[in-house]
Formats: sequence, C-alpha cells, structure tokens
Amino acid sequence: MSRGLSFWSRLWIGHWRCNNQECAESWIPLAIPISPADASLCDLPVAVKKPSAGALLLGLIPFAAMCFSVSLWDRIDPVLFGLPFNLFWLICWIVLTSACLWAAYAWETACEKRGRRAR
Amino acid sequence: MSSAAISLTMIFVIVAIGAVIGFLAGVHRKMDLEQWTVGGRGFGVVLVFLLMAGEVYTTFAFLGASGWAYSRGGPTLYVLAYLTLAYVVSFFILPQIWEVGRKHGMQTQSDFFSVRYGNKYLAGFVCVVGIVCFIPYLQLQLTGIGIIVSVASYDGIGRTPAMAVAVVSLAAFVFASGVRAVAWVSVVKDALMVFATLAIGIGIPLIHFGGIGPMFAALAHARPGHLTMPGATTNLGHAWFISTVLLTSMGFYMWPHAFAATFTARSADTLRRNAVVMPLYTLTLVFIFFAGFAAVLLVPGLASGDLAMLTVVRDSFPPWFLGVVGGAGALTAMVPAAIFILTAATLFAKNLYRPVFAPAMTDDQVAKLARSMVIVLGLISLGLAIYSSTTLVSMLLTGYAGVTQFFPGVVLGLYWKRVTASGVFGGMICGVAAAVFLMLSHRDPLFGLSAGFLALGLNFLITVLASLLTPTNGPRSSSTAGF
Repeated sequence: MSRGLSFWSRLWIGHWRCNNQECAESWIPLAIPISPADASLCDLPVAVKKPSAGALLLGLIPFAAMCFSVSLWDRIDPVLFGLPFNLFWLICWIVLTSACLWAAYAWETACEKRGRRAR
Repeated sequence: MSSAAISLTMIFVIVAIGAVIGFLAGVHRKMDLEQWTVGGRGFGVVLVFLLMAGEVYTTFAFLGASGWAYSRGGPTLYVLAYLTLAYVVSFFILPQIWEVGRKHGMQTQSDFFSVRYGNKYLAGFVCVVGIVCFIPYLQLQLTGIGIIVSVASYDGIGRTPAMAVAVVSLAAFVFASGVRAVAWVSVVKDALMVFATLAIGIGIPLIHFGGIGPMFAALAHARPGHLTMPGATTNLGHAWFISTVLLTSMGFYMWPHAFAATFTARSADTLRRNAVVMPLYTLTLVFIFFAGFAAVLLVPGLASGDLAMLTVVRDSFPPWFLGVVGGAGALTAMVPAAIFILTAATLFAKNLYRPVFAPAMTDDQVAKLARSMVIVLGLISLGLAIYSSTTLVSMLLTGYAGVTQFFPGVVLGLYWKRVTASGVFGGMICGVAAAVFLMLSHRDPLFGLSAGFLALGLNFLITVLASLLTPTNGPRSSSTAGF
C-alpha cells in the first residue's frame, strides 16, 4: 500500500517539493505568536511528531469547502443528477475530502522518508 | 405467521447471530485489562476501521439523522459535513495520541490527562464529565432499540420491555469478551446496515415517486424551504451550521470511547490510513437522508421524526424486510452501546475508583470491578432511557457540548509546551459550566450560534490565558511529559 501511495504522491503532489526546512520543522498552530521567550520553560522532551505544514493546508481545504462556505452552496438550484445543489455539493466533498487526506498522507510519508534520510 | 411475528423473528435472528459472533471472538484469549480494553494494542487497519465504524454509525445515524431530515429539513445536512470533517481532525491528532499512549501504556482518555498534566483531580474531572456525557448517548441507543421493536411489532410490544432485553444481552457479551467482541459484531452490523440503507434509500423514492430526482422535485415543489437551511426551523441557519459543524467535528474524537479506540491500533500509520478511508463511509448516510426526505411527503404528521424512517419502511416493504432493517438497526444501537458501557466501566474502575478510593488495587481487581460496573451502568442507562422524551439528535448534541470541552486540553497538550494543568482545568470547568448553563436555560442556539461552540470558545480563551499566567508545572511535568 505504501509503495502505491508514494507512486501516486509523486504524480499528484510531487512538484510541491517537500524540502526539509518546511517539513522537518515543526509547525505549531498556537505557539507561534505566544511561545514564551524563556527557553528553560521548553525543556520538556517533546517526542510527538508535528504534522507538516503541507498536510495541514491540505486538511484545511475540506473545512473551507464543507463548513465555512455554507452560504455559497446552500441552495436547491441548480439541481444536478436529481439532487438539490447543497446535497450534491456535500456528496462531492465527502469523496474529495478522502482525496485530500490521501494527498496529506502521501505528503507526510514523503516528509518522514526525507527526515530519516537527512538523519 | 402474522406480519409482526415475521419481522420480530427476523430481528431476533440477526441480533442472535451478532451475539454469537461476539462471544466467539473472546474465546481462547486471556482477558487481562489490556486485552479487554484495547485488544492488546494489535488491531490493523481493517479491525480499527470496523471498530471505529461500529461506534460511529449508531442509531443516531440510522434513525436520528433521517428523523431530522423529516422534521427539520436542511439543517440535518450538518451531519454529512461534521462526520467527514471529524476524520480530517483525526488525521492530525490521533497518530500523535497513539504515540504518547504506547509510550505510557495508556488505556483511557483520563490516562492521557493524568500523564500529560500530572494532576489527578484534572484526570478525575475528565473522567466524571466523560461518564456523564455518555448518559445521553447511551440513552439515545436504547431509545432507538425501543423505537425499532415497537414499530417492527406493529405497535404490539412496548419500548420498555424491548430496551430491557437489549440491555441484558449487550451487558452479557461485553462482560464476556470486551472490545474484541465489539469489533467483530461490527462486521455483521456494517454489512447489514449498508445493505439496508441502500435498499431503503433507493427503494422508497423509486416505489413512491419513480426515482430520487422526482422525489426531490416533488418535495421542493410541496415544501420549497424544507431542503435548505433553516428548513422547518427558525433558528438553525448558516451561523448555526458552521458553529455546530466545528463543535462536533472537533468533539468527535473527544468521546472517551473514540479516544480509547485509538489505542487499539497497531501503529500510528494505521490511524492515518484509516482517516483517509473513513470519510467514504459517510456516503451511506446520504441514502438514509433520502428515506427521511421521502417520509416528509409520505407519512406527514408523525408524533416524532425519529419514527419516520421505520414507518416509511413498514408502509413500503414486506414484513421480512422490515425485520432485516430492524435487526440492522438493533445491532447499530447495541454495538455502540456496548462500547460506551465498556469505556465508562473502565474509566470508572481505573481512573476514578482506584486513584481515589483504593490505590492498592491490582490490574486484575480493576478488571473485575470494571466488569461488574458493566451491569450497573447498563441498568442506570436503562432507567434513564425509560423516562427520556427528547429527540435522538438533541440527545447527541447535548453530549457533544460536554465532551468537546476536552479538545483544548488534548490538542494544546500535544502541541503546545507552555500549556499548564491549571490553565486546562480552569478552561474546562468554565467550558463545561457554560455549556450546562446555556443548555439547561434553553439558550441553545444563542445569537444563532451553537451553545456548545460558544462554551468551547470560552474554554480555549481561558486555557490559553491562564496557561500564560501560571508557571509551567513543577518537576513532575517535566518527567511525565516525556511526551
């Protein structure tokens, strides 16, 4: 399975060039503006691997499409395949969300491989 | 044989097959606490998928979602959005939770808080809130079983005896074989559920309207506002949709059982792959909506929307098929209910009773206590289900408003080193208090936003501010947060 994914990842998002600076470096949602200046507070050995920025961006796409943009697609017309537009839109995005997460998975796997090689 | 006898026999046979598979799954394995609660931490993609799908697609999806499609209309679409987005959230937190869980041998959600924050009162509080939030969710499942049996018996059997039989049988198989039983019964349940859903969702519009397209056209003509938000309601508009979807998609894996299911996985990678596949399962819900929308025109004026789908099935199909749908529905209620009882029993024994009352208990004794708690919890939830009156969806949303208050503590705990026990504790208490206050005083939704979401915002704010104002925890945290 993983070999299949890496093939598809090259095809899908290979041109995004997952370089070490972006991927290996942790991307912490809330800590950037408010992380303490005193480094001694941060000496806890943090072993949890943070998701990469690329994967997080891919994860934001479904939220934008299915949640925040609701007033744009919540209508009956145009009726597509006999379905009201809002229902049709959500059905499409169920499938596309899976695709986004697939891409995010490939991205993370590629990042991990790169990180391991760098070490 | 009368129609009622045929459909009830069918339900009984299906539930019996499920129960036998559950018992067989537990045979030949030594049941220590680790095996009973997290299946020895050895589940691969398929079993984790089944376990998670088993607990996700509950009676709520089967009867509640179609019930809302019937009684509320457009706002019910939030279900499709939130279930899908919940897996997006899971992709970014479950693998990390699993890593930490393996390192520290965690079995429950409360373990996570106790290890990360080194505060047993915080862990105890999480445990109590978790158990309390299970009550409406369990109540929902039992009410579902009651509805199924009473509709399938053509109103010949009351809800109460049906729920009583269900509680006894589910307590029996959880008692005997733990989490593994649940995963395997899910196989039967999921196969039946997919079959029943497709047949209903395609069959009903076809029989009565000549197809799905004509059905929606007729509905849009007869009730122009029903298919968009706010549908048949006045206060469930777009702001409500966004806030509820955010609340529930973040809260989804904060349910103690979903959190604990993470620990059954063999690897973090299993969980990531699982998140990729799971959204597709949401597609089955679309067909349930078809049935709910069809019911608007076919059986108007029902006392409760939750009856809509089964009533339509009863009027459209032969009794044996009603039995198959009822059986699938009954398993759909019993599998999650079993998981909830299992989780709540473990939480009570391991994270509440042992730390507070009997620190000297061995793991074996905890496992025994947890097993006896299964029976106690089954009886409590039965008692509550008999006296419940709200709709299935509102029961679920009440529970969500509570469990989502764990989200800041989990996510900041994973990713923000600066977060402190006092910050999380303070935020969580305020969040839970705000949610309880808004719900009990019937201020949900408030300003068009879901009450639980407002409480979550307050919770986040207080957690961050209080964490910045309090010093990071003492030496205890630097050793425990080997995180």
